[in-house]
Formats: sequence, structure tokens, C-alpha cells
Amino acid sequence: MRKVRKRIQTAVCLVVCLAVAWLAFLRVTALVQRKDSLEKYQPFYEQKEDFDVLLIGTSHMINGVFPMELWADYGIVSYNFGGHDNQPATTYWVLQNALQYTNPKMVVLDVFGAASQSKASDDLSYLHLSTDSMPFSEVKVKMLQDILPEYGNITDFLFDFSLYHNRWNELEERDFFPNITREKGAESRINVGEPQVSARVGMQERFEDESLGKEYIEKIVALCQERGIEILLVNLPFPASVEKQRNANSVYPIAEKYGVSYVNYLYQDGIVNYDTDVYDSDAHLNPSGARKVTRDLGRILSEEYHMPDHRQDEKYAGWWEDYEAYLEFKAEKLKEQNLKEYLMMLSDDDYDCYLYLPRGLSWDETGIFQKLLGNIAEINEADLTGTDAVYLSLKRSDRASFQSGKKEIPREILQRLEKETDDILTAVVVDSKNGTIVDETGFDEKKRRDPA
Amino acid sequence: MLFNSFPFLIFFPIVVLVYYAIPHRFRYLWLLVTSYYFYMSWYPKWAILLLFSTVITWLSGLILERIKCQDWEESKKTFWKKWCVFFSFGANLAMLGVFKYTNFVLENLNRLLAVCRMEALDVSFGLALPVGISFYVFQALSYTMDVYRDDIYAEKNFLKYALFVSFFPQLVAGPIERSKNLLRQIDTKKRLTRDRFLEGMLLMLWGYFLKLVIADRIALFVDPVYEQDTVFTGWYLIVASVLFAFQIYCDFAGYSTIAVGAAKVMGFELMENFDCPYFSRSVAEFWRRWHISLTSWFRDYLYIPLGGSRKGKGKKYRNIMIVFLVSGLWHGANWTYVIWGGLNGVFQVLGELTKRFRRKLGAVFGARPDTTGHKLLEAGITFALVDFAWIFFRAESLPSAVRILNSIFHARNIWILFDGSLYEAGLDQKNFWILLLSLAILFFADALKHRGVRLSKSLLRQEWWVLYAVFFVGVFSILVFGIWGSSYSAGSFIYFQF
Repeated sequence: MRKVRKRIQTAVCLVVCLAVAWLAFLRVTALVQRKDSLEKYQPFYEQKEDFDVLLIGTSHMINGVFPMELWADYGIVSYNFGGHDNQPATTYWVLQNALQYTNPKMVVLDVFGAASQSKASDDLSYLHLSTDSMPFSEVKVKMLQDILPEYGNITDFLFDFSLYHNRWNELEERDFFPNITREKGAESRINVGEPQVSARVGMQERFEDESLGKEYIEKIVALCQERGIEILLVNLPFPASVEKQRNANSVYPIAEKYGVSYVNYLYQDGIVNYDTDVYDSDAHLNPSGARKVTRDLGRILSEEYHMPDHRQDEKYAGWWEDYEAYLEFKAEKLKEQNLKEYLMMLSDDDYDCYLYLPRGLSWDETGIFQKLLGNIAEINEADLTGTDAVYLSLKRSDRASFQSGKKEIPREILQRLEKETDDILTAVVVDSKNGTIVDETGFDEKKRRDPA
Repeated sequence: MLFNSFPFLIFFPIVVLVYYAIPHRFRYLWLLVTSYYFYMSWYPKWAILLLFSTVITWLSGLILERIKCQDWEESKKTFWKKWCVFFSFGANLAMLGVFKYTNFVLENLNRLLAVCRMEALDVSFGLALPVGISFYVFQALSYTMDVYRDDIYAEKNFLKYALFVSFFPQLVAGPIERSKNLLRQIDTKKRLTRDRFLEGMLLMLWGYFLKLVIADRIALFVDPVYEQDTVFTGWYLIVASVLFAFQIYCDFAGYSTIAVGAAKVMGFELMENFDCPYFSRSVAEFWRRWHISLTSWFRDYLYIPLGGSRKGKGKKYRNIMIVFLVSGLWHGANWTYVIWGGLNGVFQVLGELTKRFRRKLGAVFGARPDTTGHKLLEAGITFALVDFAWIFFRAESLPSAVRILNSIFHARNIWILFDGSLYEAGLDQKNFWILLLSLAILFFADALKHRGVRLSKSLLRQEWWVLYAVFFVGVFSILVFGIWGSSYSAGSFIYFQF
């Protein structure tokens, strides 16, 4: 009897010890894991309600379409599953994985990469962005078996502790308290780039060769159609080279073959202005450009595909809280910027702004600031010339109305604007919906923000 | 299949579980199959060489036994026994020579031909060096000699003998076991006991710690420094050379400890291969504590047959030099290894020659050999000599070794130890701290061992939760601080190449 009791005690101790060790192992694994993927996808995996729209594709999608703006403007519930340098093959599997957790009505596929001959990015850290937070599943294994043989070690993706355990020496606050995305998978890349200039090619000029990119775009379309999910192909706007324009044109036959729509924004003039709306010279939109594209895409989804408006839906009440957090995030970002990026960020329906330029725009040699002001609202150029002080009241809430002159600015705000006259520009930014002040700042000659 | 690879972490538990689940009479067959599987996981065709060595030495044992039973005159018996040993050694060493030394011989021949202005020979044979060939060939040859010397009876069962040669824990990097020890254990019935199992696991854990946390971490610094000895000069090379002494110790002792632990889990006792070598007070003592299974092999099968120390001092010194030059060549087909072996031989000969002088010198200075200070001084000098020789062992080539020594002896850039430059050669500051902490743990463990305290055995006597805590901390230290996985190009155990 005593022996039996002893054995039971030993067994219980062993089980408890193993359980503690296992839990500790899981905690350590989570701690050392790179947080990019978790931060981007955690809200998706946590949401119980279905998403109506999944936005998939490359970094063009991540930086180009903002789900929270779709929510605020159209009540569309979406998630941005774009991945940096995701090749269409990777995107196909990312979608397969996502469909295990949600039943969308619609998929919007960014077709950049149609000419790709690879299944995954050469930089495997980008692939990790898509896979690290993916729960273990048959789809994940199949994905890795399909795309990894040529590129990397499957163990690093299924058991990423083997890769990340070395991160013990770079742990930071973010590893203990991750910065979970407040943009539902999208990513604001903040810069005002100088766009490259390329000749425009005709729609009939196409990349004609067979490619893995086209093969997997077809697979994605077929998968959606098989599951009864609407699919829209898009090529988001960017200053495209001739070659990339041809690549984008090679998707028209696919759209035709499957009877789906293809919006190639390279031919949609008037949506974005590359002078103010790109992050870099030849690829990505900045938030100003993204908001414009999001607004247009929202219109298409809402009017042409009749995506439901959930803004009054009780089930999605939590999205308003998420939107508040998103507004805070935007405000935080705004406060970090230098003048050029600051003005770019003001091209936002959520903000009204009042600007004071004590010496006019005489310091703007390149003309970029004039363009950025024009990007916020249509401005009367005559009011900006000369060295006289300029007062601007730019109200996005009235659909980009512009007024100049001191008397148009409320006294309280005027006092704040005129506080620092050594600056070349001072700004007060107000929430366009409730009138609260979001930010007030001044910028000096070096176009830097005044220290707080 | 490396010990520090995922396949081994799956392979080993399966082997152990099945081993204890099946009846005793089948266990050796199971171990034989799994040992060949283990070896063939590198390159299946290499198993032919393992089998060749096994068959030759097994037959030699049987023939030797048959000769002994013949009703012949003793001289005739001795004659044929020697022929049998000669054949076994000849065949095995020929195989070893072809696979390990062909390119080396041809390269040197070509150098000679170049001096004589003759046409060079084609040296592109492309023969890969089979993993662990030097280890199992020496182990198999020890069997032939042991049967010849009547130390053991020849093993009749070929499969049991094949297991002796191929037993996977020590197949590719030792310890080089003796038939007297290992062969008889194959027949012993083993039961799984708590203490043996836990001790084996503790040893394996310690081995992994030495290999993954210390040796492979040092490699991150030593490899780039030695490979770019014209970029990393002076004090970089001094630090790298000191650290290399610990790298090779932890690498090799780590492997041996894992092997001993793995064998212990299955009820086998393998010989100890390292016994606190850097606590040695002379180079001769160092070699009694370093790679014990190889040193004793050379002692029993080369040094003693050459006459050992019985035929006068001159021949003793000659024999020491022969043993260490051959040992150098055994470690690798490169002149750097030969010089390394030669230096160790020279140090020992000089140690013998200067013994009286040193004693007198000590007396003049009033040295007291039993004091800690004196012991530390001797250990320090021994370490310096051994480490000096390691430079040749680690250098890629002879010119590189000369360059490194020149750079070390003209070192000026001592400031790299203080201005942070040291941390830019492959190992950042945090990793250096982890390394120093790990070396402190190693020193503590070796110091206890040196005083006769066996940590693994002491731990088994502790409360269960202490043991659990040790396992817990050990496993997590290795998992987190070990150098393994993709960001690290899985370093093979250094001794595999020999």
C-alpha cells in the first residue's frame, strides 16, 4: 500500500513538474519571438465576429488601404492581410489560413507581383511576418511545404523558437508589452517621397510570359469563387516603371477569364497625387495617399459590391472603441513628425487645422510645401505668395474648405497660433468631429518640430 | 546526425524506449541496427567502411584464437599471430590512409616534384573524410591487439562484435573504448534504475551545456578572428587563442560527456575521456587528463610496443616524440597538426630534461611545491604551453600559424579590451558576459571534480525538487543561451573531422 502511495506521489510530482516546465517553455517561446507578426495579426485572431472583407497582397496593400478608415466612412468590417514582399504564392496561403478563422463576403487582392517567379520573398523575415502568429494547422504545414523548399528551413517556421531563442540579448519593452496594431493590419508609412517619372504604357502592353505570380493569382481567384466569396483584383497606385505597368496589365486576361473586376489604379487619374502621396519613389503610398485610395475602394465595395454597413450593428460596437484607439494612434504619429510629413498627415478628414506662417511661404524653395498645403484643401495660391504673414483655416469637415485671413480663426486658436513668431509655421489641429485640440506646435527653419 | 540536432532528440528517446521495452536477448540487435542507422544518416555508403573494419578485425580475432589453439611450437604460433595482427592493422590503416591522407601525401609529393621541377600529379581525388573513421578504426584495432595479448577471448558472435565497433554514443568521436570494457557489457542484462537514468540525463545536460553554451559561443568569436588574422591582429588573436583552449575543451568534452551520459541511460559505462585537463601542472599530466581514451590507446598500442621508458632515456624521449607526432597526424592530415603534436612531445621531453634544473631553481627561490601559489604558477605555465600549441592546431595553415604568432608577439592594441572593439569581432558584450559566467560555472564544476566531488552523484542524493530545479535551469539555459538553430550555422563537433 505504501509503495502504491509512493508511486502515485512520484507520478503526481512528475506531471506537475512537467506541466510547469511546459508552461515556462511556452512563456519563454512567446517572450523571445519577434513581435511584428503578433502585433499585426493578433486582433484578427481575437475577433469572434466575421470580417466582411479581407485585404490581401503585398506591402502596397499594407500601406495603401486602411481598414479603420473603411469602418469610419462606410462601416465596412475588414482586415489588412497584406505582407511585405509577399509573392502571390505566399498570399494564396495567407488567404487559405485566414479562411480557417473567418467567412468573408469579399476578398480584395493586390496583384502586384503578377510577374513573380518566386513563391516567397528572398528576405525570409518578411515571410515570418505572415507566419509567426499563424496557429499551427494543416494549412500552415502545407503552406511551408509548398513555398519553403527552395528558400529555407521549415523548422524555423513551425518551431520558431529555434530561430528566435537568440533574441534574449535584444529583448525590449515591446517584447513584454507588444504594440498591437491599432490599424487592423495596415501600416502607416510616413514620409513624403519624390516620385520617379515614367512613361505611361497602353493597357495592351503586357508581360506575356508564364509566371508563378499569375498562376497563384488564378488560384486565389479560383479559391474565392469555389467558396462563394466575391473577389476584386486591384493594382494600387504607385509611380510605376514601364516594366511594372506591363506586369500590372498582364492581370486583365485573368480578370476576364474568371469574370471578375480588376481596378488598375495606374489608369485612374485624379485619385492620388504622387507629389504628395507616396512614401518612396517607386512603390508605396503614404497615409495621405492611402486615405484617398481607401475612400475610393470603400465606395466601390459599398456601392458596387454592397458590403454591409455595420456602424449601427451592436455586434460590432467594439469597433468604435478600436476606432478611438486608432484616432489616438494617428494623433501620436502626427506629433512625431517634421514639417513636411506633418502637413502630409493633415490631409485627413478627421482633422481641421489652423496654420500661421509669419513670413508667408517665402522659405519654400521647392514648392513642396505649397503642394502639401494644397493637398489639405484647395488653396488660393495668391494668398500664399509674398512675405506677409499668412493665416489659414483648413476645414476638412466641410470637405476641404479653405479660408484665409485672421478674422476667420477663432480668437482662442489665434492666441495659440501667434504664441511663437520665430517659427516659420505654427499649427493648431482640431478634431473635426468634436472640436477638441489634437495638437498644437511650431516648426523652425530646419523644419523641425519645436521641442515640447 | 549530430547530438545537437532535432533528429537526435527524436532518435534517442525512441532508441531508449524500445531498448527497455524489448527482451534482453534482442537488445544488442536493436542497438546495432540503430547504431548503423545513426552512422548512415551522414552518408549511407560510409557504412561499408565501418563494416569493412568490423569484419577484418573480427576475423583477425577468430584467427588469432584459432592459432592459439593449434598444437604448434610457440615461435610458429607467435609468427602467425604477428602476421594476423599485421594484416588487421595493415588493412585498417590502409583504409584510413586512403581516405584521410591521400590528398596530404599527394600535395606534399607535388611540392617535392615542384622543387625538382617535375610535372605535378593530379590531386583532385575528391575523397570525403568519413565521419569518425579514426575513432572506430582505432577502437577496432584495439580488439585485435587485446586478443593477441590474451587480454580477452575473441568474440564469436559477429553481430555483438559489430555493435562493439559501432555503438552509436561513442561511434564518431569517442571515447575510444576497449573491448575489455565495452564488449563484455553487451552481454550484461540491464535494468532501468532511477539513479542511472537521472545521472545519464544529467551528464547529457552538462555535455550540451559545454557544447552549445560555451564551445559554440566561443566559436562565434574565434572563427572570424582566426579566419581574418590580418584584420583582427594582436590582442584579438591573444584573446581568441586563450578562448580557443576552452572552446576545444568544451566542444570535445561536451561530446564525450553526452556520449557517456547517453550510454549510461542505456546501462553502459563508458570510460571517462577528460579529467580537469587545465588543472594540470605539467604537459605530461595534461596528457593524462586530456582525451584519455586516445592517450591510453597510444600508450598501450604504440608507446609500450616501442619500448616505452624501459630502454633508456634516449629511447624514451624518442618514443614520446613518435607518439605525439603520430597523434598529431591522427588528428588531421596537415603539417599544423604534426607540429602541434611535435610541440606537445617537445614540451614533455624538455620537462623531463629540465626536471632537476627546475627543482634546483625552485630550491634557490625557496619554492614550496605544495602551496596554492606554486600550483597555480605551474598550472598557468602548463596552460600557456598547451595553448601555444593549440595555435597550430587551430590555424588554417602553417603560414597562417606563423602570421598569428608574429601578430601575437608584436601585439600593441591592448586598448581593444577597454574601448569596446573586442565586441565587434563576432560576440557582443552581452554574449561575452554570458560566456564568462558559463566559464565560471565550468571552473566551479571542474574544481569540485578535481577535489573528488562528483556533482552528478551529489545531486542524486538531494531532494527531488533540487534535482528538478537543476534540470529546469539547465534545460532552459541551454535552450535560451545555447547557440543552436538557424541563425547559427550548426557547428559540427570539432573532433568529427579526425
